[in-house]
Amino acid sequence: MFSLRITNAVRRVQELVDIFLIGGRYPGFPQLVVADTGYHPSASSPATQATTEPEQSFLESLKDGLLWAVPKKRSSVERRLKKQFGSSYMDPYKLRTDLIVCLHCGHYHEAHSLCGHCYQKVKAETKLIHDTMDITARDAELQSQEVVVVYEGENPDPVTTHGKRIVEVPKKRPLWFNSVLLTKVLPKGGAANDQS
Amino acid sequence: MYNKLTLAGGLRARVRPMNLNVEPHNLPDQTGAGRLTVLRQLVTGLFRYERLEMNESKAFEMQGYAELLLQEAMRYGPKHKPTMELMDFWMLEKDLIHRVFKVYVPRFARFEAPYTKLWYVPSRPEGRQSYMSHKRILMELKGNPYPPVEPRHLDNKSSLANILLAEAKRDYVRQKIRAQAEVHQGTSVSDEEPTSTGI
Ligand SMILES: [Zn+2]
Repeated sequence: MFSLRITNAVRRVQELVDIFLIGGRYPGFPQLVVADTGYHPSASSPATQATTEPEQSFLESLKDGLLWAVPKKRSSVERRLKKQFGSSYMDPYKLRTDLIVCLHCGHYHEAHSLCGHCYQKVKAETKLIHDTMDITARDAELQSQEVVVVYEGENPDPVTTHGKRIVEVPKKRPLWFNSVLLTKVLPKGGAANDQS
Repeated sequence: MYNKLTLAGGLRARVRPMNLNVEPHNLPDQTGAGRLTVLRQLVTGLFRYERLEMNESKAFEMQGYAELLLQEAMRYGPKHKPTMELMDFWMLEKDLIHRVFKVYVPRFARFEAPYTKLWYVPSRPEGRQSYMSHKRILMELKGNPYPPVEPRHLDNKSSLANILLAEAKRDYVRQKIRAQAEVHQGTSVSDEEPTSTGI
């Protein structure tokens, strides 16, 4: 943090010097910086160097030194804003082409994933069953039994559920969760209507 | 990209050769053993809840360990000492060791490996404005008693296109039978006239 402040202060001073020397700041103007390499083949000694080297013009000095990388083009507003704030602000508003419609409920979901709306129902139902059967109980005897979920008004088959732990959920079975092993979800009238 | 891990157990699940983007979760001793702790917690959670949501990289890394545990349990049973040591290490809650041998081993005897199943769930959960950067995965054990996450079979028998198609098919079959009957009738016109009326 402290070093950052010092760096900023130094940069500020450099900017001020630039303003005084060049006479203004231009963001897109190529600022030429000349670095003196200190190597002059013609100068053999400091005494001769002082006499032989005349005052160079700005353009001639370019041939001796090195040009440092400087911005050549003005960066656009979008690019400058991205440099300042990053792109994460705009991420929610990106165009998504990987969304499809669920055939059951009509909600949009990502093409690779399950439908979020349908999954939320399953998730809530699973959590309800978990809470009902007290799943966090660290009881070896309780945990070493296979579980059969039974809803209100259902009679589990004694043959298939033999030796299993029956968990009774105090509500009616949701229509989308039909069980093959237990009794039919549809009433007999509805089934007859389907066949006709 | 995928690599089948060749172990003594002959693991029958796809295992990625390298872990991806799982944070090391360094413990104070800087050993990176905290990562193993996270994996153990995940395996324990999966064996208790049978259904667990996590991000993609953790799921891919954890699946192999869960599969290996189940396969070892099925192969050697509870009286094999190395298997029991493995169980003791991976199950942070010890009542689940009983669960593995009394519930999962009989259940998975009628399944083929792999015994776990992965589902991608939306990376934008309810009540969240933007999408997460990681893909989310729901991992579940097969044959669990909970409502299925699998999209159920779409009953589109009564959609208009299917009704029309079914009717057209029935028409086609009727025509064919009639044509056959006529051919049959042509060959034996004099003998069996009344039989063609039934069709
Ligand atoms: Zn849906």
